[in-house]
Amino acid sequence: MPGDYYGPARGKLPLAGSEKKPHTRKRDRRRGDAMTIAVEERRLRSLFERVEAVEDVARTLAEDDERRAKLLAVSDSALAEEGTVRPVIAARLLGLSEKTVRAWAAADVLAVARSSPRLLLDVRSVHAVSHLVSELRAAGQDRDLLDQVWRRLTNAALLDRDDLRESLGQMRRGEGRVLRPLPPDTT
Amino acid sequence: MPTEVVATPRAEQQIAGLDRIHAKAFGDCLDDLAARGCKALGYRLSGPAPVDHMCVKHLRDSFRVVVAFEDAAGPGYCWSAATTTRIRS
Repeated sequence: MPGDYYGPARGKLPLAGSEKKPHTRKRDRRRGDAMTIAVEERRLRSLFERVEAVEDVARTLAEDDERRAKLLAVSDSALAEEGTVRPVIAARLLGLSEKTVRAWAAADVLAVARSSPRLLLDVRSVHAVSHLVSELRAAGQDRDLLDQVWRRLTNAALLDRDDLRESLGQMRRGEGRVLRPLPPDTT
Repeated sequence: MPTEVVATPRAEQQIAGLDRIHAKAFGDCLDDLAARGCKALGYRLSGPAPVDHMCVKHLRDSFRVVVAFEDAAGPGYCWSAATTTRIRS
């Protein structure tokens, strides 16, 4: 009987399995979580590295080369297959605190795949942002990282807009109407 | 630097669609732009031309003005897109 070895709990009969100290369970669970986080981080890091290797090859090909599009589609589908990532893992991948990652998700810098019952982020978004964060850090621009990443993301989307391209075309053709003329003394 | 502001036809369409609050913010931005030129804008985009000739000013909510300069050096023309205007200084 286990109680014979450890001695019965005071005033209580020893229970089956009571030979395990209760506090070790919590510690084991914590250790288990840490292991899971480390394993998940390693797996995603490896995925990002493979995706980036494919992207690097794709970028050596001409923009109108079909093989380039295919390679980029392969890397994108590999990320899409992974689907979602927990903020704690995203934080490790981006080299940020989990609190910062959650703030970036709230600011739409990181795409939220699911917010309930727990927050999950879109892996593709985390991967795209990891590129920007690395570039900014390499350029020594660590300050105001959120603002800079947000600007780059919104600017990239801006340059894809049809209305902007149309407007630039009109600018080149000299089409336009004066809204605010120059003051007479400056002409 | 005093600046002339000119709207492209696409810009005019967008300006016509602004509600009162956004139209007021845009009008104030144009006045500031006409009076101070580039200094009235928030930040410059980075990238190859013409991207590096473009500046952005965030006005309200997600509403922003993008200004593209024909000539980054010295007086010249610049334009804004998204809500699009051209500016000459």
